[in-house]
Amino acid sequence: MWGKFHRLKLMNNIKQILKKNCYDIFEIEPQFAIDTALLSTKLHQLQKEFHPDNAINNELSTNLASAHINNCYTTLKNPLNRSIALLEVNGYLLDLAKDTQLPLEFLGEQMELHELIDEANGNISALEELEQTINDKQKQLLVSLSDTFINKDFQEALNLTKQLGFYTRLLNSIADKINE
Amino acid sequence: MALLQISEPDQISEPHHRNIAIGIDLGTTNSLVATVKSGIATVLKDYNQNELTPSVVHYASNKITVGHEALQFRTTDPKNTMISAKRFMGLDVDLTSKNPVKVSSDILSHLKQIAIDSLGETPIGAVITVPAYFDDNQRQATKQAAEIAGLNVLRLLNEPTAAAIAYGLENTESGTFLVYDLGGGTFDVSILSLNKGVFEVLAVNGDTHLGGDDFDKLIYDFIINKIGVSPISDIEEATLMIASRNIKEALSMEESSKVNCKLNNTLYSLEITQNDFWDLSKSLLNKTLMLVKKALRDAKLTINDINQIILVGGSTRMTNLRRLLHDCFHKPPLTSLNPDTVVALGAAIQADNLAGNRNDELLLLDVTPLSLGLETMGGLAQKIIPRNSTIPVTRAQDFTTYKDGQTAMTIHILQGERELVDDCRSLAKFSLKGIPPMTAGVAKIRVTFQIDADGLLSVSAVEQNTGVMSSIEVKPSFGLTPEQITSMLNESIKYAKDDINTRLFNEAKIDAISLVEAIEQALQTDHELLTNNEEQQILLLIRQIKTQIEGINPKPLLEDNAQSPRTILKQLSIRLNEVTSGFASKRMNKAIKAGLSGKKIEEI
Repeated sequence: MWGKFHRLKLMNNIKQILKKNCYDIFEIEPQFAIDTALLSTKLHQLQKEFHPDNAINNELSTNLASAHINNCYTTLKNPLNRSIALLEVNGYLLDLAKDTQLPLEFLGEQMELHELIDEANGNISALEELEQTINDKQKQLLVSLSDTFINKDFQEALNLTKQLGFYTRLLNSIADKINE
Repeated sequence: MALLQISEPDQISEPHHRNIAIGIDLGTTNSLVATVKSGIATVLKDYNQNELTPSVVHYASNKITVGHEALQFRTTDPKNTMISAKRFMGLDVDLTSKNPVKVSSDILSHLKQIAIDSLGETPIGAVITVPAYFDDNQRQATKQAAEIAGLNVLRLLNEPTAAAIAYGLENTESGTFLVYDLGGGTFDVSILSLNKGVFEVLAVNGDTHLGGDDFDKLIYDFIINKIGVSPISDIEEATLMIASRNIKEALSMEESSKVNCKLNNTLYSLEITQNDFWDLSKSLLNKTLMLVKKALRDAKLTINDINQIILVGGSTRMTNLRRLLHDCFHKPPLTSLNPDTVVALGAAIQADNLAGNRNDELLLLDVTPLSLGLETMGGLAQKIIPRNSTIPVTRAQDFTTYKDGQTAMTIHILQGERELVDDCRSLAKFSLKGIPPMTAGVAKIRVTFQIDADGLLSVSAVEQNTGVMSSIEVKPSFGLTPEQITSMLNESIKYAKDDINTRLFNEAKIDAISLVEAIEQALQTDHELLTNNEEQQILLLIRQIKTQIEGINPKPLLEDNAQSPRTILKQLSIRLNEVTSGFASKRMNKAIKAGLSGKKIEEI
């Protein structure tokens, strides 16, 4: 009897998890600045209940809930994905692949940076130097982004998130080149 | 997307009942089986008290030999002796007609038997370890091998994670670990954090075709180069490979080692020093360090963030390797646990945990080692799930048709980090059929990828507008077909039958031998009690029995019919018993008479 009760309760919790947005699952206030240590602690707490290794339950459903929690963890940990999720919570949908309208000045700078990556020609220390430069730029952007969310200036947040997408792509491209 | 399945709740296991589960380290060179006994993880030993079972299988026409007993065939019958089969897992190769999955399943069967013999019962399931850097094909192949061996797989567990469990729980530390795992044929590096019983893997990297074997090969090539002679037969080659490994092992303890080898009927002698070995192995060792750096990058950590370095795999005993790691991390690696057994012990702890025996909290959050992607236009790979994503993980991607009325599309799933499809590993290609005919671009097909806690991939697809769901079975491109698995299962059942028949025959043989020995002894002392004719009859039967025992062709052991060797042997023994019953009573009489003679009548 106890087992049955436990299972039904878990199934109910799983359904709840699958319905919620990432901020609600992690019980975090919907804001941009985030405590990553808290995020990690929350992940561990949640997975202790829902990970298929721990839950005495149907593999499929616990896998789904556990995977959804992991996806949210990745989303909230990554500034770009977190920003997109936070915009969505506030009713703004952003499709980075389609919506690329940005000031010409910004796009020009991006072109230059891409050229610099190509010019580095696989030289690891040159690439790492560039990585540092872009990381610094991205940090400044993250501070501005956090402010716009606090000020509920979602139009500006959309713009900055699009820019963040460009920086993320640059950093991924550098990481790929270094790994090769 | 499949709906939540709410099944009738099964009975959950009684809280106090202990389910015995085992952990198996299926290694390239050696394999082990372990379990948790009274709360302590222990390696199970075979009947000769060996902990390690060499991952070697010898195939004779009628007999499969595994482990230590198969080792001898490496030099006497190398063609039929399978070594390092793990290197070929998930590849479409046949090692002299023996599929690596089959070889692995024979090793797993052997380990299962060691566990049953040692525990006195069949374990409810097993955790089997795999290199963290194994791709989906290699994992699927390992799971298939376990299923063919009749094991209930509780979980496929990454080897470095298993090692971290064994170490972490031993020391109950929290912090960030780097596991450097150099096995016989694979290299893994894994970075994980331990915090209050939760092991969270942050990044893995590795090479599934780099291991201790490659260091043996360096010494092997060095010897051939130095003496200028190549082996002329596969037996010479195998002998020299073994000698090379012995030198590598000796150099972990001594400054130099001497090799004596016979090539082309000439004896050669050569001295190899640690410095020679260092020069030889430098580039391979640096290659592993490159992979360590990649893992650190992915984990967004630096060398200073690593609290402990855990060494796993027999090859990490190499002095040059330990020195290199010490220099690189500015601290000595942890070596308190045996690098050969630590993975099996960790697997046993996780098996015990999954079997529901642990009360304290232990949770593993592992990652997928390689990015998962799809082929897009122009032969490019598009990543769907990036490497080092915590598993289980799901990701959905929407596709649409590009022609009016299109009713099918092909989806090609890839694994790997490269941009071009040809540079990635092809996992599966499937056609999604039954899409309702619509104008191009209207259909919206959502394909969902799920990687489960074993690191295995499954795919489902649904057309969003109409809800048409296509169930897709993903077959690994290089795995076994269901027919091959069935035939292997049948074969293993057949072999099990052979084993029973062999045992029954051996019992009959022992009975017959003791009967023959007793009669031969009696004939020596008392043959005068028999007529010439009687004696000849007995001697003929003894000869027949001996022929049946010695000249046995084991092939017809398959069935226990009237013509089986066991039945023939039994019939001959019965016949011998009958024929000699007169002889036996005569001897009894004689013995009684002898006892009587010399004794006075009153004493009787």
